[in-house]
Amino acid sequence: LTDKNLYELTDEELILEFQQNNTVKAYEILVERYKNPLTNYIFRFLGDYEACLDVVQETFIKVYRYKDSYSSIAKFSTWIYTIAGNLARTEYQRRRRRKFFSINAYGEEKDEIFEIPDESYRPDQLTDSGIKDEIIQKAIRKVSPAYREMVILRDIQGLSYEEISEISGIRVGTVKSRINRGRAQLQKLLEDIYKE
Amino acid sequence: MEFRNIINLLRQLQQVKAPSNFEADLMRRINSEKFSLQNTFWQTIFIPSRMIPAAALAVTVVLLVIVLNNTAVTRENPFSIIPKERQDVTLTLKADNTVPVKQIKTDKIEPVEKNKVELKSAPSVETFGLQKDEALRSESAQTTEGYEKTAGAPAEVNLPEKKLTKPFLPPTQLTENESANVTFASGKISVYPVNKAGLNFRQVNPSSQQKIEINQLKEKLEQMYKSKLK
Repeated sequence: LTDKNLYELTDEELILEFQQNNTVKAYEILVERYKNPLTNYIFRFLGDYEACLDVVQETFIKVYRYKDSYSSIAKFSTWIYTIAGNLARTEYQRRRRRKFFSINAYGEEKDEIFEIPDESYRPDQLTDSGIKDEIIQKAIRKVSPAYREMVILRDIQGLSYEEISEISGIRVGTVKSRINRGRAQLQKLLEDIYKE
Repeated sequence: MEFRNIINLLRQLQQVKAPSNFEADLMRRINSEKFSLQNTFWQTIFIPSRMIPAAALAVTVVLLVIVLNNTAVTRENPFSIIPKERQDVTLTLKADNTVPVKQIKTDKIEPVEKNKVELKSAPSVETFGLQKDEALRSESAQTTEGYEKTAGAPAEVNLPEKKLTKPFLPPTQLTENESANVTFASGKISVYPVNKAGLNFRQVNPSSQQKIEINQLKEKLEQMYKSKLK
């Protein structure tokens, strides 16, 4: 297959090509197609761009390493979102633990309340829409992780309920209820913004 | 729609994109990392992250087995227990080692004074064979109220074998090697005395109806035997 032909293949055909013939170009096309959606998804979940890039790279490395574990009965997008979601959740928990321990250690020495500095929010570097995005992003991060993931996949990534159900391994009914609860939490957090 | 505003806000969010050097970085990482694709089975097994938990699990299992083995209550398999020797059976065996095929009360039965059997807590038994068994049974029923108790704590029986001046012979006067021919309606058959050695018997308390039936059979056999002798 020529490069031109490879671009015309679907995701599933590309991963099969990579599996069977070890065509690296097929893999690169998949990376090209999914790097931005995954970056957006992971960033909205974690809220840290550097950590997000690490997770996305790790996701693609896993795809490369465990390409044979992909089964053609599943959609490629579902498979890669599942890998990314698992890695993002692991990273989220790791960061939370690290923050917890560092705060505790600091508090013992100084015996005073310690607040985590939020350096990501820098108004001088943001436009009005940027500020709005930043506020929304901060609100998303305050939503419970279980609901947050669902809301991002549905309202930001635009996936269907069935796809989300398959990615998260939860029934469609549960997915819908979690999305609604996540939206309700966001609505409460962003009351001032959407009234404008 | 309840959450329309929120959904619109989220959809209007700017798409976060990967940096332009993302693919180059990724391919560099892939090429620099030596993937364990060529790793053998043993290489994948004997890595510390798997070996340590596996070893810990194995040690735990061994310790559990040792501890449980030491504390376990040993229970005998009821099927492997050798049944206790029954006094009422051995009593008969000591007396003559044979069981008469037919127990008939006739004039030919010798008085059992010659074969004295002394029972400590039971009335003296004047007869052998089934009659003696019955006597023992009634004795044990009086003293221990039931068969189960009797099996666990048999009545003390002293058998002064030396006092046996004459070995008891059943009314049939048959020894082990002898036989008698009995004619039934279906034909003629030989009757041998039954040797009780090596056998175990179950003690049965027949009902009155069964007793009547047994007695009828006894009488029938007696008549057949008498006619045979004539």
